[in-house]
Amino acid sequence: MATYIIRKLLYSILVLIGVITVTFSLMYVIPGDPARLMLGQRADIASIDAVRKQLGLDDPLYVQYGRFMIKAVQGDLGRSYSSNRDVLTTIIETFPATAVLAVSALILSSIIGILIGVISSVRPYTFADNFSMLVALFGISFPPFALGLIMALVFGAWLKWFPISGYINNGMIYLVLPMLTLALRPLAIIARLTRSSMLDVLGQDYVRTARAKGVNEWKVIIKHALRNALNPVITTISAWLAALLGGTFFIEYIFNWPGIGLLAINSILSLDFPMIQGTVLFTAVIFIIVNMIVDIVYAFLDPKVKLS
Amino acid sequence: MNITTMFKTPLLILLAAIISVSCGKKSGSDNLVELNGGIKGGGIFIANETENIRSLDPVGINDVVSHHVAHQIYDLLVDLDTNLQLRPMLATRWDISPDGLTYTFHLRNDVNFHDNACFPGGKGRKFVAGDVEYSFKRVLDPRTGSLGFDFYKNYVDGAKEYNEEITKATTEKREPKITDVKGYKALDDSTFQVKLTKPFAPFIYYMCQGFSYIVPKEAVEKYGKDFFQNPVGTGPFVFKSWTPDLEIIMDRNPNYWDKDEFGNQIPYLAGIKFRFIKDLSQQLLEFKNGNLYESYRIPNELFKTIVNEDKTLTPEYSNFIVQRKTSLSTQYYGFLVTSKTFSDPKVRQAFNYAIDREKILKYVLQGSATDPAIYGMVPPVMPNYNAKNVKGYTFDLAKAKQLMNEAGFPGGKGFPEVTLNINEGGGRNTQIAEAIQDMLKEIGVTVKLQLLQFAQHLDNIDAGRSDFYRLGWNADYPDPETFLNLFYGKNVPANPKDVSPINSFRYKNPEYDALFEKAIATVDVAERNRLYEQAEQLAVNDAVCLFIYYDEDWRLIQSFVRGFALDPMHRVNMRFTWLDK
Repeated sequence: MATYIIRKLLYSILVLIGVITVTFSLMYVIPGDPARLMLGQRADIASIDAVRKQLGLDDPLYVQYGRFMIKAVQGDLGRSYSSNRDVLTTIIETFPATAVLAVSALILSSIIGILIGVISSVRPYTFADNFSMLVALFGISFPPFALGLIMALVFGAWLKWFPISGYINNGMIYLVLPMLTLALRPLAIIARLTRSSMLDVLGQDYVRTARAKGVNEWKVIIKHALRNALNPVITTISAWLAALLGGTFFIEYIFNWPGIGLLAINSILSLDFPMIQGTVLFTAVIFIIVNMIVDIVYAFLDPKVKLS
Repeated sequence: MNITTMFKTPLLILLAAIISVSCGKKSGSDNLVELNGGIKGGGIFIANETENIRSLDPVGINDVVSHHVAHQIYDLLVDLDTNLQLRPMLATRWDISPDGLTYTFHLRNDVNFHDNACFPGGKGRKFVAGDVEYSFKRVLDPRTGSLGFDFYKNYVDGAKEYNEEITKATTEKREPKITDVKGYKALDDSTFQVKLTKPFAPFIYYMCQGFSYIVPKEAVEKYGKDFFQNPVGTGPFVFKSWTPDLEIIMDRNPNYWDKDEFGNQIPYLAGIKFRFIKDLSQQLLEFKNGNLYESYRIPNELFKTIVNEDKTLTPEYSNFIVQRKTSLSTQYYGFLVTSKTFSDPKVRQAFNYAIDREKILKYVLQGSATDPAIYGMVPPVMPNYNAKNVKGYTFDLAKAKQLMNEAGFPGGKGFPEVTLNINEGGGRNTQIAEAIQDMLKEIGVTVKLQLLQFAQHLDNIDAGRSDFYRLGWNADYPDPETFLNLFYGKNVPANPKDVSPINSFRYKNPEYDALFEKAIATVDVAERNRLYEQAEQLAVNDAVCLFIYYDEDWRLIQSFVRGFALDPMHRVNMRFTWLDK
């Protein structure tokens, strides 16, 4: 087990080095001179040069790379070009907003998704099942950003039930629309997965035996079938957690939700390189950590994983 | 229990939870009180900015949005009123010496800084001339990360020396030998003097820029690098909190020094909340829902839904107030005059005559811009300036064709295909470019459009890689110099390979430069503007760019908002804003 964990850790470090390299090179791939953007259209050459020097943009590439790498490892991601804020502090301050949104959306989608999946599986090929699966198909195929705009228009602008932008510091009501929008896709996937997994389990001999022995139907479903059917569902939920924590870019942008996603989009729009690098790096780290934890937990739960 | 009942219960609980959440706290009601003159005091004004702010430290304020927020927290020595005329603020009056070199500001002595933990006992201390010297020196100090040095380095006596010595000392890791700027001097607690190295008449307008806000030394020292997010000033509102991308909250300064004509203490509002909704359509939705008190700019695609032909609001929006103002902003297509394609003024003039600006305004901009740019670069709304004395270009296809003929391209024959570089940013730029593309076909010119991301667009222009490009210019201050500096030949680098960010046309005309230099050194406003006119006429005759239109600003405000005027530079001043609810 220790070897497995060490190997996983080493892989993660390698991935991190790769991510740092890619985020560093972003600055040279995206066109535009940060010094020029900072100083505005009125700046002259001397001032642009002075700011470039101050930012270290005149140093050779390998010097800049080395400096970036060392500082990134030390947790110093620099200061934002556009707001002058410390990048890491800003990200850490921003992360709870993304976490609230991601976790609440995931809880909502897990509860409803599993419910729908179970209902569909116990009444297969009925209207309720077909309808639920049609809705689930819609949830999987419909782009979240488009759904977000529609939700904002219908529930925010027309019906005026919920506010379309803002944060929970002004009331939990602000969470409703972004959470529902974000929850739809994982909900649909969880519902479909639960249904197929349940159908599989419900066809097993031991379920038939339980029914033959006269065990109460809901007990059969919950205790015998659902408990066993949930394994792949939980895997999917963990994967979604990593994905959602990494930033829910468009949803945050549409609802002006002050999380990592909104921060990243605004940084991209203003070519704020340190912040772009910071958000990308942070997202990658979250992804790696969550995945590593899931892998390790799996290794504990399933001995076959260790062998592979 | 049957299965349907078993799942129904949690579903109902969830539904109830969502409904209860949706009945949560909405924006609180305002407690307003009656003041003299029928004015009401109290209430929180909910403003919106469609871009993020850069900094609340004056040395970093070179963007409009930061200026909007900072203007409520800080005071200037001299401010502009809504007609862009100078008005006293912290300086009760100022004298300019006849040679234009010495500016003496006489300061108020009844002003205190905001109460803040940076002061002993948390009580804001009295503002004195030394604070002006300190604040202005910070703008020249490279250690502060100032973005404003450019403005002052060529004019303020000792500015360059001070900046260079600090830069040198920092590199050599020693204390700077120069600690004062020769040109900045607090003569006593209520008199501050600025000395220039050469006369520069627009300098007084520098006092109205974001760099010129007054800060207390104690706050800068206490908050250090984080002063930009812990601003302390003497302004009408006290900074409370800033959640990036979300909101900035400020409270009324109960000790503000100013009063209105009825004897009421200003500001009237109890506070301001700045929100940061970037998308114009979303901003409009929130405004319609009453969650914002202003909606600046109308999305082009919704313009006809909101505004009638006669520029009044459509019935759906008639319960709001619309404000519109010609802005100090010109939209143009620049020519790189050193390029082979555009070196001949006749070609550039032909382009200018070939454009039907009225049509663009009517059909493309649908009435959302104010005037065709037929008076050159400086918009007619520029105060004290007779822009209409400058003769620009109106649509004249025959003349355009004749000029192309004279340039050796009859019917456009032999004229190379031209690439027009435009930047992303809404449909407006592309739609205008397409209209102009069609219009230039009439003189036999084929135009290819290239859409670029703004940063790359600017890079190409600065480096001289774009022969023909879209740009707009907004005034930094209400003096024609802010526009005419773009044509100043001394802004063009000697080496053509160097970037030329200001005069990106790379236009050089010694006659223009002489008139421009004479104008900026002339203190007398009328005489200065006469010289500006002459200079501008030269650049317009040379058709340095394709002048398109002068912009217009549109803003919707809630029907109960009072004292919130829109000015041609879109400055935001909430000192006299109140809510008539």
